[in-house]
Amino acid sequence: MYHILLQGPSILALTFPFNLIFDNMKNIYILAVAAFVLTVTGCTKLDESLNGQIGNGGIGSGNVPALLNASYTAMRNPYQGPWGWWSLQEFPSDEAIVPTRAGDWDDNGAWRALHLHRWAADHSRISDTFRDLNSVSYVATNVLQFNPTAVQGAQARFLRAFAQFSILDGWGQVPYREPGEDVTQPSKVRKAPEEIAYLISELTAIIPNLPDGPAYNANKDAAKVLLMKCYLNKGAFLNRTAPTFDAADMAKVIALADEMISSGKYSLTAKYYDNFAPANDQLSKENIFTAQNIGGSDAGAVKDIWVPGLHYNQNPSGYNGFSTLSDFYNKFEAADSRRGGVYAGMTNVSGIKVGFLVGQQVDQNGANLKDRRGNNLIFTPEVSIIERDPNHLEVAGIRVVKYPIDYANLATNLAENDWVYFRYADVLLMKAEAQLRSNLTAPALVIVNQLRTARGASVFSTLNLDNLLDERGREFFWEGVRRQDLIRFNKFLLPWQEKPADDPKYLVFPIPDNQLSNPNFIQNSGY
Amino acid sequence: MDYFNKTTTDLLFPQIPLVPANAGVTVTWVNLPGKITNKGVELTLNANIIEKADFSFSLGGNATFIKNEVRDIVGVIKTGSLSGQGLSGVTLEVIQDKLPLFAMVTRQYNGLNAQGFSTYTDDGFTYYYLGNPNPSVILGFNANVRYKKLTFNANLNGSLGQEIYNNTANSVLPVSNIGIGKNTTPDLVNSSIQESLANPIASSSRYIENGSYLKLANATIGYSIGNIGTAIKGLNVFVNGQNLFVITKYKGFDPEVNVDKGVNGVPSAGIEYVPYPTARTFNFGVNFSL
Repeated sequence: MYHILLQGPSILALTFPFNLIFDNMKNIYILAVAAFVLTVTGCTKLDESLNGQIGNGGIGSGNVPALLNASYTAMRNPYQGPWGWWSLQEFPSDEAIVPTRAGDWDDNGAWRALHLHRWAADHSRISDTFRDLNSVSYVATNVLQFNPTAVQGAQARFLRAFAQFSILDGWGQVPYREPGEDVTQPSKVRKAPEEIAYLISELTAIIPNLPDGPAYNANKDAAKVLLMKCYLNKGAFLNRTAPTFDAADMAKVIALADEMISSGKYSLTAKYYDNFAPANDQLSKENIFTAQNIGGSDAGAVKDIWVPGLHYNQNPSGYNGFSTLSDFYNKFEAADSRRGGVYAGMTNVSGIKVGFLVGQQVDQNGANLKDRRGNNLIFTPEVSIIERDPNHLEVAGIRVVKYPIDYANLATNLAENDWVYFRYADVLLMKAEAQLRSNLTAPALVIVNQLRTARGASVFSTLNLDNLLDERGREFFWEGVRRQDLIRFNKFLLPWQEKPADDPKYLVFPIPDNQLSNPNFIQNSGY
Repeated sequence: MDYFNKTTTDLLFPQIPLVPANAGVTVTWVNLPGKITNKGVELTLNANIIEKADFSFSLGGNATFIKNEVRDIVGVIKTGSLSGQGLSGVTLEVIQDKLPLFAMVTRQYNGLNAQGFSTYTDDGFTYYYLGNPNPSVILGFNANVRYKKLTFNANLNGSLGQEIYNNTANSVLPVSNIGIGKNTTPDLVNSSIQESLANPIASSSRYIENGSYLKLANATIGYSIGNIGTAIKGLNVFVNGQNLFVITKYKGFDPEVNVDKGVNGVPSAGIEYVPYPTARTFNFGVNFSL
């Protein structure tokens, strides 16, 4: 509260100034010929009393549905769009790169550091994502102190487990708080073995209480997919330099997959890109867990999954940044529907196709688009971490449009496409991987070929870890899982296009500098 | 002459919450355990050189030699966010143990290579302490002359040793503006090595400039006419000019600049980003009493 008091003597002065102001354009303005200036001087006394106190974090309401809804909304920051968790999963991988394009995308080398595996403990994208993932964990935990119903409590605990799984994947240690705990105190921290055991017990406990659907709610099958991921990645989270896979864990993965396969609830969507379309909540047969976006009124940053890759002169105008690598693009067969092509409602509006944009770009009438220098806009497969040819700057790199663009809601930037977390295809490929790691190669090959056939690709004659990893790349490219896959397949430190071999310390991210005052964190080794 | 050694403790600082925490609560204000010391010497000299009935002349000057240092701060507090294309999310300054307040920590620029690309120590992946926005000397001079009814006084101020980060040159006037319908500066076109149009826009010591200056802050010539009749008393006419000249090597508009580039309530210092230039102002005035 502020009190302002005017005290003391006041002086009244009269002046008649003639003002001539010379600005630096050397123009002369005669501002005033005569003016009365009333000057009041006095003492000002400021009494300040502080009434604010930060308690347990600002959320104090007992309205459980609103708090649960806030937990879903808190997921948008770290997960939707390419800036948060997605950027940490994709840019350090072999399927995404942000080339520095002269005036664009240097950003203190932050993007290069991700692709080259040169990040440090002050990398702002790493610390912001860590903060935002933990905020999901905090907000979901907070629901639990207001006596939620069993269903509400299970949903909140699922969202918390979902965020903590990402934190475990990224940082190898997970801070947590009890409901209602004082946020000014350091949080407790679970190390990887303790956390993976906690997540498995937590998910197993909440599955009976979760609803059956819809996909945009925390649901039973979503928890089963996350539980599958816990068992499948456990060996990698516990030993990242040499992952091992326990037969009992693989059996759990297979059993959970079979529960969902036998339910008959899901099938592979005939048109792959319908899974990501504006109406994907209606069109997709395989989406298991999504974030609901309501076009034009209530949505996360899903539109940023297409905007940063598009060129300035495309519709919508993009940021001309993100690209994929030609080695990755070349893993696709020409007939593979996942490589993309014309998409109704989009290509006829702007000329932009779904999937991979390479070569001459056109508008909706087929006329060639130009870059800003007036050359034809031809996206090239060649891309460098720093583009050095002025004529190649704007066109370097194949662009990716994973989510069909929602033209109906361009004006508000709030696209209708629901953000996709888990798909049935992942259940199938995780089952195949667990079988392959259990030496059940023949049934695994059947599953992979079933998927490849559905996508229009030729069948494999054999299955091994290499072509299964490639298949996961083709199926889940730009869905924010690639780093986790590369680590589990023990290939994350190998050199690939525009990235040298690197140090094992990069298998986990550093605990951000600004959190090290919490004594329960021990900085990951090497940082 | 004064010697001073001032230690500021219990700095109020917006502490980032320890996760997990609510994203809506960005900061908690705490008193930091560290301190900031300002040590130095202040010299003041005033001389009445001539003091006669109808003529006087006096000169005054002061100089403050100052050294600023942050002590015992744990960790690194980042501030000074830079602006513009290619600089998203980039911060320049730190509050860190054993460095001056708002020390500029950035890439070390080593010039252009033959292809016209910037080169940096360790390819720019390691940042170094390369600039200090705090002056080492603060100067002030004044002169007063009176001859009969005519008076003249002038004030100069200046400060030496501080550095300015020219964010405007960094991101508003880069060489890559050529060809896309924007302006750049002649310096970049008329250099011995032609900078490549593909040279990335990056923050670095290239844009840290010497911000030392001496400025004629104001000067006034007045003539005291006195009383006119019985109605007007103490009539005085004057001409006053402000910001009359600046002596500096700084390439921006005005070295006396500090655009707020604070982060989460932590202020910054010595960053220029498209400020309005300081106006040069002339006043003609008449003063009297009734």
